[in-house]
Amino acid sequence: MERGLAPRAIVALDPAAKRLLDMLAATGGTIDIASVSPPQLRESFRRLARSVDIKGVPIGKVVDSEWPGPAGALPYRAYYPRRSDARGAAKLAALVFFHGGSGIFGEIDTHDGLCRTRAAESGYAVISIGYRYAPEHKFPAAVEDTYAATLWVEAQAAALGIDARRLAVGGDSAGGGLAAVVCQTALARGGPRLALQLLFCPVMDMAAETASRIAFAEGYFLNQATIDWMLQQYCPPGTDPKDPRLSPLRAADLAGLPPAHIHTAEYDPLRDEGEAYAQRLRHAGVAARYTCHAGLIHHFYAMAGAIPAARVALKTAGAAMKEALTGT
Amino acid sequence: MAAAAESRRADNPAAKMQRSIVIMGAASNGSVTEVVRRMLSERSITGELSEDADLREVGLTSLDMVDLVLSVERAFDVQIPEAQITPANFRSIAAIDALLDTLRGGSFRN
Repeated sequence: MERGLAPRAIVALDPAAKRLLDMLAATGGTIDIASVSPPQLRESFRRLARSVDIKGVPIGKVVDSEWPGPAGALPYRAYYPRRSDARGAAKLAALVFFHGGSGIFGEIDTHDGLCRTRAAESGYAVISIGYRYAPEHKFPAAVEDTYAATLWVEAQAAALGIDARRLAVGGDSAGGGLAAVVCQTALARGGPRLALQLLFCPVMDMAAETASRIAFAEGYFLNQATIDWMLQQYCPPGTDPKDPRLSPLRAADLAGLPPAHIHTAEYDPLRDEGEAYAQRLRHAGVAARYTCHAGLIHHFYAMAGAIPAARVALKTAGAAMKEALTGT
Repeated sequence: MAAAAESRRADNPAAKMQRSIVIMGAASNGSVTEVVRRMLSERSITGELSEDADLREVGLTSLDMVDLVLSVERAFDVQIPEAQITPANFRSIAAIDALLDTLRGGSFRN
């Protein structure tokens, strides 16, 4: 598999990340499309996560339960840090987390390590939210669910043992885009005042033609052909890819949005749209902290068991999250 | 923590035993078959599985194949060199057996 040259790539591809890409390249090169059914994809992703996710993260209580979604009950998992990690006060700040997977696959289980490390490293709670999948439930089902989940967590803060005034939202990949949309929706509708948006390699622009989309279009975990297929699965026919609920980078006005921590990976097709969002937020007067993790690839944050450098990147991100939510 | 580090762990008797089977060139090379069978059954893929069957055609996805490479490394306590991670080497159970033989410096299949 040929990999495109990396524009502005300064650091060589991380060796452990490269091994994973080689394994993928040796066996098809990307996440299968067309030949694989969405339920099969979900199962494959679940199994792979068990192989590459970080293990043995110290954590306090973990609670699996359900929240009442707009179209029926959906799962959630709440992570509470160990008492010794907690920030003293009984009421913890909390991160409402939306996993990635293009709105088609991925689940609470496949992002378990990421959520555990977020809780352990920040000392705050994490509520990982299940939302409806495409293609069974097409756009904007996931947008509706993630916003509804945020409102639900805020309303249930006391029962969840968290502080409603110190609520962050976050997500990775498609879930990162959804978290950004939650922030925009909350601002437009006078919803919860969110303390932070924490985005890992977010999908910010479904109509992007950035240098990173072009350079890493093939052979870097997330192929452009795969992205196109996923968009097709996710959206009903005739959906405008520039709709800000799909492409939050294209929202008209970003002023007044919550502070942001945006993490991208150097060798990720989505890198430049994440960076562009950080820049637009800053121009709109929003405090946006932007980190491009050198040498890493899309989804690194959920493969820390197989990519030691991802572990280091996650710790940095966790320390920043802790600092941001402690100050609020 | 890392899969690679895990695969180097020397205190895994099961891995040692499986490796010795490969080194001895046991007729069935059952242990690769076992790894693959386990993966297939976890994914509810049933049916006949020959040593030469194309694993992609049998129904493993590309993400499954990454899992397969990692599982083989764990089961046989090896780290497969980058140059050996190729479509041909992971095409079938027989191909993986041959790869492991090569890595062990064995020539049982020649």
